[in-house]
Amino acid sequence: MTTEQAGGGQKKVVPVGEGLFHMPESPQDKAYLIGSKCSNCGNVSYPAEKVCPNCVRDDTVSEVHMSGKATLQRYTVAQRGPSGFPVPYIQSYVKLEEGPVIYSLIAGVEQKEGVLKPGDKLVMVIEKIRTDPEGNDIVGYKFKPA
Amino acid sequence: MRDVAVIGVGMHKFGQFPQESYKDLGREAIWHAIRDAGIDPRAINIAYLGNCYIGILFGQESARAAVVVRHAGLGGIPMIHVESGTASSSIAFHEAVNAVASGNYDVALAVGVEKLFFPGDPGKSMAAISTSAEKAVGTDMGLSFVAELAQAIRALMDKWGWTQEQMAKITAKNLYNASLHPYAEVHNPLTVEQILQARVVAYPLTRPMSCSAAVDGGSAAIVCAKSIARRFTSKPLVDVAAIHYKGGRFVPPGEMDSEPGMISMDMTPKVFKVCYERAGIGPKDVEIAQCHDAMAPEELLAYQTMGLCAPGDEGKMIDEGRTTLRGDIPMNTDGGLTARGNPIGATGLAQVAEIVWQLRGEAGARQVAGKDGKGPKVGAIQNAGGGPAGPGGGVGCSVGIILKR
Repeated sequence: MTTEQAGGGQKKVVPVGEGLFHMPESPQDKAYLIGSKCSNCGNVSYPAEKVCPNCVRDDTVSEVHMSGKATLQRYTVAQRGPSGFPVPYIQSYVKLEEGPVIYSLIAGVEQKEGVLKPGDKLVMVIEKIRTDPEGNDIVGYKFKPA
Repeated sequence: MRDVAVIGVGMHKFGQFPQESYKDLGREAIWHAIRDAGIDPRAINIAYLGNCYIGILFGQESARAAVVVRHAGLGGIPMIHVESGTASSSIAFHEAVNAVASGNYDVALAVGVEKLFFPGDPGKSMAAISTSAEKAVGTDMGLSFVAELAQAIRALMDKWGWTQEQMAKITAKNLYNASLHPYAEVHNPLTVEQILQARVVAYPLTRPMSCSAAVDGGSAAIVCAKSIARRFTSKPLVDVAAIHYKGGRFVPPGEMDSEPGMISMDMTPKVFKVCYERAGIGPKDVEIAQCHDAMAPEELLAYQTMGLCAPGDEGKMIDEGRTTLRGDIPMNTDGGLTARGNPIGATGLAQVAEIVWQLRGEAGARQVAGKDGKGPKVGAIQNAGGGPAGPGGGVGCSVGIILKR
């Protein structure tokens, strides 16, 4: 996926990591996080695992797509962050409907204290996360209030 | 298994030393320990280096232990590099103790080195340190260690009633302790009010509550079979009564829900259960302690995870002054990671050095009295480090050490 830049060069849209999520290819296509589930113990992992970390078997795990629904577990507002991340911004842990607790950025709200509380219902969106040094858009998942 | 004694400890001062190389930091710490032990360095049979970032920052990969140890004049012995975030040199110590306890070697050196201060370029050390988290689902998504811990601490404030003021009291205590330590990073003591009014980095953490990223330092310890220790030193012998280390593990979602903020130190209670059993003591016998406080509220957590107080009593430990230099269980008498400084790979052995100096009665203005007023006899150390941390539900490793005079 590319878009024209003012200077005539093309900036790319690059996923933050391989195999983490499905990026929609058309307006009808739906984004989802790619996880895994163990048929022996039922444990769901995100990101996807090849070996079940709960029952430690390598022959029971298959890929599953996450619903995108989650609950806010905890958050803070970072006043400093890695390069490419304009501060302040909310860093959070969210509990996916399927079970895993994952780190996430938060979209759709002002990035300040008091706009969220633990237990808030959230949904997943695919959005730009940062701009890399070459000017490319790095995209990944975020959660926003449902 | 043989009993093992610590016969020498040493440090290169923690702080900012742009004129010195990582080899200089290691050499000075090693020779400080050699002189402390009064040993002929040729008696050392094996050496372990704890270091994280010489490779990524200076391009010295693959032979890091050999480069650092050889530069200190030693050679012709096994020279082994270990790394695990801030626990790197605790794990070097763990390996040195095991090498001697097994009977395979008689005298072992553990050294920790880190060089993270780059004048005018603070982003360089931050970038190196950020490689210690899982990349795609952590660092590249904007996860910072400070904010990650801040989130965990908020959950614990809700659960145990901890206050930001208690965190400031711990910070004030540790800054004061570090100001009495000749090898600590240089800090001015601050009042509780000054700490609370300082810039917020991620609520509830203000700037003085968090360790600095841009710190250089070295640390070292020499251990030997207790049966031969008197050949080398006439100082009080410090025994390694227990040392135990557990790597991170997968935490099932249910456990994560019930203990949301404990995840960063998940392994610590399990590690200390083993340590106390092996040392034949209980937490009530501990007279001085060191914990992993990269951010000050981790000390509150450690009061509980090391078994030093009942769950929920963490805040009282500092409110009642029990963990100050004059308290009954002084914690982080050298200032801890936040104030003594946290040059990642050199941190663990600085913790060991402080407890050894305290048990021998050599801690100067920081010296604590112990239960009988004749100096402490039992010290406990907790250190945490790298692991499969991240959204999969993993946690970092934890190291526990009990030293006895």
